Amino acid sequence: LAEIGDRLSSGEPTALEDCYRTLGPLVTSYLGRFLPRADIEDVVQRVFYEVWRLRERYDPKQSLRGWVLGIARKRAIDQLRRRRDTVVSIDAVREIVGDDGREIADRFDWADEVRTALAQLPDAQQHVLALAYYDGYTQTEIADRLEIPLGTVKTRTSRGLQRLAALLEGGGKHL
Amino acid sequence: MNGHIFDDLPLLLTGDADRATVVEVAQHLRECDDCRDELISAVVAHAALASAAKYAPEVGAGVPRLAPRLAASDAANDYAANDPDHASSSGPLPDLSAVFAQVRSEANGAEIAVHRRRPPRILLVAASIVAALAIGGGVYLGQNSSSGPSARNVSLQAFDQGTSSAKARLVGDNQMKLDASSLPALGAGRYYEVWLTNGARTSMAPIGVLGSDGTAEFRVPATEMATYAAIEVSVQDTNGVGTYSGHSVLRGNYA
Repeated sequence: LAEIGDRLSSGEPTALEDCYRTLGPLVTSYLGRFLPRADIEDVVQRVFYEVWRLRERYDPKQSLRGWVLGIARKRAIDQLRRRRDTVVSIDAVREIVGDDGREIADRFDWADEVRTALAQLPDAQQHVLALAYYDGYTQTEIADRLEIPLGTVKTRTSRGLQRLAALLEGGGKHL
Repeated sequence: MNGHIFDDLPLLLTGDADRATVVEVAQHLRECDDCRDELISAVVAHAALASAAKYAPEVGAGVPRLAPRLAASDAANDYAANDPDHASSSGPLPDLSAVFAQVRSEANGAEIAVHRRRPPRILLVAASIVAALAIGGGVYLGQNSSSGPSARNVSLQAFDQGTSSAKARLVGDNQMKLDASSLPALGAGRYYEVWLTNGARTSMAPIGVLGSDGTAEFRVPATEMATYAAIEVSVQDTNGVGTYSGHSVLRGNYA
């Protein structure tokens, strides 16, 4: 991401495509929190076009992920304001417009950093951690589902957490 | 418990440890520096994963695993996630090839000829953002010029197929408020689009669409304003491919 951010700020058009390839799923998921499905494609287009147009304002020292999500949040707010003719949940509007909206963008930023770090783990470790944290399986259940000894699940979990912590603590903007 | 207990530490964090294990592990941790260090790292990773799964479970959708079994977190049980019209999980990404083509074109400094430019849909969208930004940000372009950036009026005359006139107010070098409420209402399937063009009308850029009341407010990059010399309004077909229709109704020079 840091490399993409550097290229983007220097005006390299292919950086936008790489940026979209890397952060497009995150932005789409984020917008899906607030916007109807029918609106998402247009807003995603706006977001990434604006990423390009505002690239000179991007400071490569800051998180590209956070910067892009900040743009996505603003564009989502615009979209909700324009949808006055349709029913929009008050909670959705309040959630994104208020302080909570910034918090949610930060949460997505952080969650994507975690996902990126998780993807760098060996598959076996990645798998047990994902089952435990994203799907809520206990270690015994993971052992049953994967048909591996409980001790193996424990070891993979322990090693995975150690490696993940090292990546998160040392990764910074490279994740 | 004599040896290290690295593999038991995650149980403390996930709530899967029974009472006996908790007590035993606690006693060991008070005496073992290595395991305490290990626990710190486990806490960091656990906190990160738990936060990610709780507040943004959609982001983890791409992580390979078995089919979800448990209910999603509270964060996922919100309006968007429960609404079938909302996309809270991963799916095919929107096609941004038109955006990328436009960006490459801009980066190459290519002038885009009238009638051959395509597809400006994203620019329409971008301009809509611009308009929304101006409105959403509470920008009022008709402000007193003595206390803000310089402002001036631009007259737009009937042009080509047009029969009425309009006016625009330019504030500073990047704000425009257009009042074309005198234009006749269009039937379904058509809309008015605002463009910047050069004097010879050999290149143009869309900046947005008029609202249903015939007015609009835009923020346009100063560089773009400086590139062109005139404002033009065209009638577009919503089913068109997004290129300039060739049917203009207003035009006015600002430079």
